[in-house]
Amino acid sequence: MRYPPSLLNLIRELGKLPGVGPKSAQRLAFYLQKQTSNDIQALADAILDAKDSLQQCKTCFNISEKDQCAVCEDSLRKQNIICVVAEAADLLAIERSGEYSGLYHVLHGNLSPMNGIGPDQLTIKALLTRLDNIDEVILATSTTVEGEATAMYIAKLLSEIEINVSRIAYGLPVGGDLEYADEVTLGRAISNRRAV
Amino acid sequence: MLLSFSQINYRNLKTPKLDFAKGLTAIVGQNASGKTNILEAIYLAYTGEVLARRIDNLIKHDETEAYVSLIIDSGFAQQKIEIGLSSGYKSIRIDSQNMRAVDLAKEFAAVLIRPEDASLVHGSPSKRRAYLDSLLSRLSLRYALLLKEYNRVVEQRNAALKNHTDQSLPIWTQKFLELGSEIMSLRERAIKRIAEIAQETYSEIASDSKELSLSLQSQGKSLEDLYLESKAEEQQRAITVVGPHRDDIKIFLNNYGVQSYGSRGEARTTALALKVAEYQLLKEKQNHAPLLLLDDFSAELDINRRGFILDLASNIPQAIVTGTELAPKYDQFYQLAGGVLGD
Repeated sequence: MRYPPSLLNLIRELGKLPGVGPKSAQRLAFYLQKQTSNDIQALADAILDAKDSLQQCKTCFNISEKDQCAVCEDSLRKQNIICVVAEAADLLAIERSGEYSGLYHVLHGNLSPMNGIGPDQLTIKALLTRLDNIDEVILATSTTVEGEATAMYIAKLLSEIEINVSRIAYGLPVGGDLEYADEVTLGRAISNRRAV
Repeated sequence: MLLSFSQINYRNLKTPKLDFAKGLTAIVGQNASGKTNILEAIYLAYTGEVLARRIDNLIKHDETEAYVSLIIDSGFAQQKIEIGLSSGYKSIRIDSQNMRAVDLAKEFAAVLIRPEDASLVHGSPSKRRAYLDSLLSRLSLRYALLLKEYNRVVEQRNAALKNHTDQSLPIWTQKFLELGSEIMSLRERAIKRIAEIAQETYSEIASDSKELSLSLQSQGKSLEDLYLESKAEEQQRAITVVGPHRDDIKIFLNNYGVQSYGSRGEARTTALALKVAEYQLLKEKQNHAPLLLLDDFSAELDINRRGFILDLASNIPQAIVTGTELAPKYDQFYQLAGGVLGD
């Protein structure tokens, strides 16, 4: 038997979501189909509502319900330091650490020519317009090949201006046993060691 | 030491389980009886390396998943390696923990010697790069991860070369030179050691007293120079035309290239010498002898080479040898017919 077209359509739409393969999409579709109309309506409303009310902050491109996000609006934060991240989710992760009280800049991706993402597809130009009165830029993209290349690209642009540029440190997970750390992480932690 | 091998839906194998002991295990069967499948499945579980073109080719026709597991006695404890195969996807577990292929190489080592190894010498450069990359990745985790990163950078760089508006090309070039140079220097160091062992082995097998030597095609040149020389071609073709992904191993006997001028026998002896080097280097790294998997010794008609590999197999802690006839010396044997175990 072939699946009814409406079910196939649902599976196809769900399968477009990141991290959802064909099998998961099918499982989700069957799950959704069993829920009450009210629950489905609530889910659909939540998705539409989020889409309608959320936008990008005009300054830092963080996700926000207003023109300015909560971070940019907060005048108590340090106004002379910007932390550059690839995605809004990374910003939230750093916020959770509670270690940082400066500003952010969200690139919305990393350089990836394979996926058609060059510097112009990221918010790099907008970053360059924000640098008056900024003393330090922290590059907090991930340590993947693409994250490293993005950090290098921005560092190169900033090297022409008088501004401190730093890269987040590579190191060991806190509370982890040295014995169980993978060799590459350990190697980087050793070569990036600091005086105590 | 390998204690047992089990499988479900692996190709056309009908033997669900085989037990192994120390010493030489001989598996005897006619052509197409499944001997090679058993060795390749064991090699897969030891290294995570898929020798077929696609993972799907390892799964029995009309099935969607296959499974291979080994029980290995590491001297301290018994460990279980499990490989799950499903369409285009491979999972590895050691004692029920999900692992990467590079984790297998930390504890387990196996070397597979098979008749088609001769293509290491006569075949395309990609075969020799695959030999080098497979061996070095198992010898050094750093190399394995470096290579993965390098390949990704080359892919990104090629995409940037094709898109003329992409301003990030200089960054990809910088990364390409940085990672590529590091790979080249690791390979250069390794090829010296491989050459030493291969040369010794060659003169042990062949009675022609010729001297075998190996070097990288890129030897003595920096990646930076190679890159600068290739700029015109690169611009024309819009791909990265130099670097470790295009390098080759040059093989010489006395002063002529075996690849172009060697006889078939010289090529086979050279290939065997390279596999012995692989065995020795893994042994040095692991501090214990790898499992030797010798596929179809009976296809080897040359008396010197046949004698050498059978000698090697019977003088190491554990080897599994297949053939259409029984190996002259063995500690236990299995008979296979149509993928089924006989008595």
